Amino acid sequence: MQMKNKEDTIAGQKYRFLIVDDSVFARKNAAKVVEMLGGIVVGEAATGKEGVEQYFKLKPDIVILDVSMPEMEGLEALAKMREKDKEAKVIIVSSLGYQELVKKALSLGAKHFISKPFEPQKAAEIIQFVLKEIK
Amino acid sequence: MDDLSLLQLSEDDVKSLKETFYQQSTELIEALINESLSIEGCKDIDSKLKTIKRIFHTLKGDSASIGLKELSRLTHKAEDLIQAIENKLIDIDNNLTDLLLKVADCIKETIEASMTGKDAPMVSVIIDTIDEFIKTSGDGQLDNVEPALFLSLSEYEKLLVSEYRRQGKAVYSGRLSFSKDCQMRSAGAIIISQQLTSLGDIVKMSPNLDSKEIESVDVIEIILASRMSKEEVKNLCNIPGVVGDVIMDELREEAFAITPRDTSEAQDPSATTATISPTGTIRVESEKMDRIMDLVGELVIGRSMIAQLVSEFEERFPREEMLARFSYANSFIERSLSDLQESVMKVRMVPIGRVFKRFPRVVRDLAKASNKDIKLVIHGEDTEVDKGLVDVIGEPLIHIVRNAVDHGIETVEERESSGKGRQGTIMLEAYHQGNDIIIEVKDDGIGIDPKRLKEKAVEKGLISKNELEKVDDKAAIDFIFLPGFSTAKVISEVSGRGIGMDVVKTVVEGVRGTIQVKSGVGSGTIFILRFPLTLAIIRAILFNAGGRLFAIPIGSVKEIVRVFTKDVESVAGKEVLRIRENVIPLVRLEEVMNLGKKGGMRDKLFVIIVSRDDRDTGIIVNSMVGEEELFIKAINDHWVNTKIVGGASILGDGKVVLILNVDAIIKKAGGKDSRR
Repeated sequence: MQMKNKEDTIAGQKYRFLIVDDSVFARKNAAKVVEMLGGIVVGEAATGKEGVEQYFKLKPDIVILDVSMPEMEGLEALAKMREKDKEAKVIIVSSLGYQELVKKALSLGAKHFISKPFEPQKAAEIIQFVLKEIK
Repeated sequence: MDDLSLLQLSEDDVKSLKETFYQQSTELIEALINESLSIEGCKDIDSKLKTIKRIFHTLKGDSASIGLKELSRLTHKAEDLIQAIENKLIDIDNNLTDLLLKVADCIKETIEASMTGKDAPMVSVIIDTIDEFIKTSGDGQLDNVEPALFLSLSEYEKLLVSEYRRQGKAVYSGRLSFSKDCQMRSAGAIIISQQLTSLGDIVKMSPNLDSKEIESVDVIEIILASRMSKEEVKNLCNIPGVVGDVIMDELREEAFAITPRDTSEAQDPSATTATISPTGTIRVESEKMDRIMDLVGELVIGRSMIAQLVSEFEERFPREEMLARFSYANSFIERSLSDLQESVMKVRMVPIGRVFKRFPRVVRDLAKASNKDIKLVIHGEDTEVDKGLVDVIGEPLIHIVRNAVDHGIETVEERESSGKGRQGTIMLEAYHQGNDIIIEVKDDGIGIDPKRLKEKAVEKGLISKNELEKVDDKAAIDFIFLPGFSTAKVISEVSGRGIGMDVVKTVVEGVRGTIQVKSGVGSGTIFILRFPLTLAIIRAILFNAGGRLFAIPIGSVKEIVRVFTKDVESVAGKEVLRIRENVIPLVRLEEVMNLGKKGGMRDKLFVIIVSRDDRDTGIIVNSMVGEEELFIKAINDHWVNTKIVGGASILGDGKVVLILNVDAIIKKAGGKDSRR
């Protein structure tokens, strides 16, 4: 699949991202992808609880959320975001082997999922795919 | 990764990413080594494999992210390996542990090398090793592609289609194949379904969302009604991270009337037949089949017990009214039982292809090793043979084929100079002939030279010069079956190890088969292996000799003659019998088996004449008992070691009968010397 010209989809807009992940490496990686796509990382959180707080404080356009964090934090966070904000756009990130969590997340209204580890190219494509919907 | 060009990371970024990666991967490798070491004999193997796979996957993604292409390739291959284990294509054993540790080491070294800027180890070598491992362990079954699922619409779904058409929507038939990167297919399928819903109305999705099949299929087939154009739908179905490839076709009305789809792939008949009409096969563990077979065997014995009782009953109470009903019930059981027997036999039959499929690779590797150009032709892989035969025949066949490659087929230069084509051919063929199964291994190589065999036999002291004079060329070929015989000038790496032709012969005879070899100097060699159709039950002639009960497979019996004792002549200290124009050597079982008890010295004798490859031998018997169906049981008795007894069975009255191995008897009688 050919990557579209980034101007096509981003159209100069500065989309605001929140990244929720317990792995530093994954957060760094996700942030790089977001920045390369022309987005701004407005916040980072290492736990689900923190993520929910940040979401309602920062009101980002898109959340990149790890659902395979310990104790189902991710899923709970997703549920809380979607509960209070029906428009919340969440892309979930999950390590392999958590498919049931991913499926639950999708049924809770997550827009797409990215398999961990983060492959920049793939992640970028997925984020753009979801951004199209916002536009 | 040229796509990284899109994401131009600064040098500092790369450095810090690399550092994070290095820390994380060191931990992962440690975990990998621990997991690998405990994989053998682990109880919860599934979760262990999952953990290992996750480690590889994480490493794959991370290494790709920081541009370690080679490492990403290696870990990807390692994932394939774990997949193959999960699919039960590979057994978990010591070799696997070794390989996993090797992979772990290689990953570690590669990462260290990239951190320190040293030369990376030979990643591609390890990748090849994994490939080789998967192929040899799993017979390359990984290559098998799942047949595409065929969409068949129910009446209701057809109704839906016509309703959508009435609404002015176009109906599309699509095949969305999962992207390689999509590790979570049922989650991916949810996204596909959500996306399709936003494009139009889904008429059918196969497999459907809740189906467990989703995880194992590569393609999701859909029928979708939409107001969008084909191109739009196609593009929007291209969901990154989930869908790899989309084939979208508009379903025209007329096409739809005949078949619900008209994509080019739909024409592939193999893809459809496999799934349209499930053949209703079930898989049963072979142990269970063996158990049923054993029980049938017991029943056969039970039946003959009843038959025995019926006849005793008849003798004792000839006027008993119930007798007729009794024997009717008996014959009823007999009929049903033989039907049952036959059915079970059929179930035990499996295609010989299961053995043959190993050969293309075997021949390829052997040919490569000996630097020859060899084509393997396989015929009759569908021929059904007894499961027991499939279990044992592989090794002997490999040995024969190995010999053909090594000693049979000439090198390219030799072939060209003798006017043959560069490429040698080995043919492997199986077919039924009467009640036998024949397996042939034929090559168009140099053939076996009887002169050289003779020289060799004398040289090895296997035969004396005097004896040799009596042996003609045809018989000399059988020397290859003598223990300790090898004609290869140099014992080559290929066929110089493992089992010899004598062992091949023993194995073949162990399942009551025979092996025959024909050869023409310069034109090639053919091995003909002949096996009985079923291994477990035989029809046999029963007789007494030396105070014991014996049986001989009816197929080996040429004729039974009754002769006067005075007709038996003695030639060179051996008893022979003149029948018509032929002189046939005679065997007394009590002598060859050292039973010690001499048979009766009556005026008249029964002689059972058995024959194999035009060699006749007579067995002197005390009395004939009859003909019966015998269920062969393996016995651990020193008779087995003499090879004269091939098995045993129990009769209705509980008596044990020993089943004779005809070939061994003929050999014992020196049948070779008396050929016509």
